[in-house]
Amino acid sequence: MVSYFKHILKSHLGFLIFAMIFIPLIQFLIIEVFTGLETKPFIDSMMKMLPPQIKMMVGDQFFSSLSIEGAVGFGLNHPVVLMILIILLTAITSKHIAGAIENGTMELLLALPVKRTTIVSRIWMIVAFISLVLILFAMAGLFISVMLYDHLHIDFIEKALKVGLNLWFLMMVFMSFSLMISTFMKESGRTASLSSIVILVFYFIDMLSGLWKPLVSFKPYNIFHYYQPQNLMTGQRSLDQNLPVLVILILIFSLVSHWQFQRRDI
Amino acid sequence: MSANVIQIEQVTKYFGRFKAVSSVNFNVQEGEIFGFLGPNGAGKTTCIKMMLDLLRPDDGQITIFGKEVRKNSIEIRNSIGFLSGSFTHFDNMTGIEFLKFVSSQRKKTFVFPKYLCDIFHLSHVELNKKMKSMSHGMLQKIGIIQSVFHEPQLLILDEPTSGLDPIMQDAFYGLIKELNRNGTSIFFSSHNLTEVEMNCHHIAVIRDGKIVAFETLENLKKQVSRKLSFKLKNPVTDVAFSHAEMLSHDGLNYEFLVKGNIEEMLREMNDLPIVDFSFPEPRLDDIFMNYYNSGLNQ
Repeated sequence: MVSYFKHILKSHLGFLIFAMIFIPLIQFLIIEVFTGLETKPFIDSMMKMLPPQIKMMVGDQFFSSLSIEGAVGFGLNHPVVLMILIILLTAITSKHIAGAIENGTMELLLALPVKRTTIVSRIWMIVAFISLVLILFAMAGLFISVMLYDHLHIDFIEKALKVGLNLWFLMMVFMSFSLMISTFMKESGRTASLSSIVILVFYFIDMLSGLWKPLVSFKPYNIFHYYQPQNLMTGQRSLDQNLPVLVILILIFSLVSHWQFQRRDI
Repeated sequence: MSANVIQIEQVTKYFGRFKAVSSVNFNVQEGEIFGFLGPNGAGKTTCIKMMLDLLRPDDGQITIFGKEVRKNSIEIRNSIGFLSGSFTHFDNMTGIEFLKFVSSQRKKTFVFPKYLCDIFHLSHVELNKKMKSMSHGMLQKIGIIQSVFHEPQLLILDEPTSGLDPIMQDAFYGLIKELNRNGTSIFFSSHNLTEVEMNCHHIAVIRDGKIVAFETLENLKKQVSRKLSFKLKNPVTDVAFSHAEMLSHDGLNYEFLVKGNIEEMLREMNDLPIVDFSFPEPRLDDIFMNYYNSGLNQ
């Protein structure tokens, strides 16, 4: 397990280091910008000028409650942060399952006394660990920034940790989904693209549902509906509403991954 | 009689609608070096992958060490060494890291394989290079080491000498013979006829997914039509034999393909003024070409 973990870490070291620096940094900067500057009057006047649909799209709740909680929610839901996490997770899962089948290293690995379920479980655990570390780094960046602003109190930490936990479960859904796609395919590139495209489509549908009313009724069927950091931070939504759905999806995707990888030809 | 190390019974494998392997039967006995011959695309690698439980047969059964592969895969792979001709590796590992990795996957303590490294002239410096910067030949040497350094009971080799220079090929043949003397059974797939002829006791020939021959090398040689050439002292009209077919005739030189009993033919040759005569032992190349060109045993 340790040697395999080292191998995966080495394979993605560059991007991992970048993510470990960039994600906390962006959290730190977002909090700094929204707490250090007098942005409220400026953004309020901007918001008045925007059409209502655009207001909804950019995060109505965040702008309407220009608070540090709103900034935390915005930071942990920033498209660039989500994109980096999704790219990294889909890249790792697709490279070490579909990519390994494509380049023959899976053949080498499975000629050794290693169970197929062990391989899937290892990758699952390693990616879960990596995403947890990245989210903890993001939380660290965020807490440091809030601490400098002198706003760090138990209630805030609890809310932020809930958002972090929710984000981790969301990433685990994406990772399990990508793992599942990988177990059906043989090419790393196509697998990563397919997983990312499906996730992106859900992301855009979630954005569009704020603009186009017919889509609102489909919101519960969108995975991003179960990650609303602004609402979690402002207490408008509880973690209990999100986690059961995410856990069920993680379980389904993971079980299908194991089942498919167990039965497939390498 | 030795026990079967590998037993393949009525194994069939489809890729979509394409029948890659069709009702294949053969067995490898304990302690032998078994040659698995066939041209590219004949189904050799598919059979090997099924032995390693990488591919699942659509029909039939494969047992190794008397155990069904599908159900006892881990236990079987624990006692097997495998090397593919297109040996793949982990780019970001050095040679030594890779060998340590393989050891850890086998749950064995890593001991530097000095003896094997000496055989293949691999130094510490070379083993500490990243595998992505190694030549194909160097990678193949590391592939050989990883397949044997846990002293397997059965070694499965899929075109193992590709990329090795002739000196290293000889070192490799020496190694597998030594392993075999120490009790390792060896399954050797190749399209290099010479190396199979040099090393193997028993041979199976596969063509278009079907086993067309499964014999000892000696028996195979007996089955094959042999070439006979001779030179006459002076021209003779109508040189013909009842059990041979003329292949060529150039002046006083004749070449025949002997298809039946050689004694009969020698009697018929008695009357001819022969000054030179050649009847070489059939080589595996001839046997192989025989199966592929004339469609014998179909």
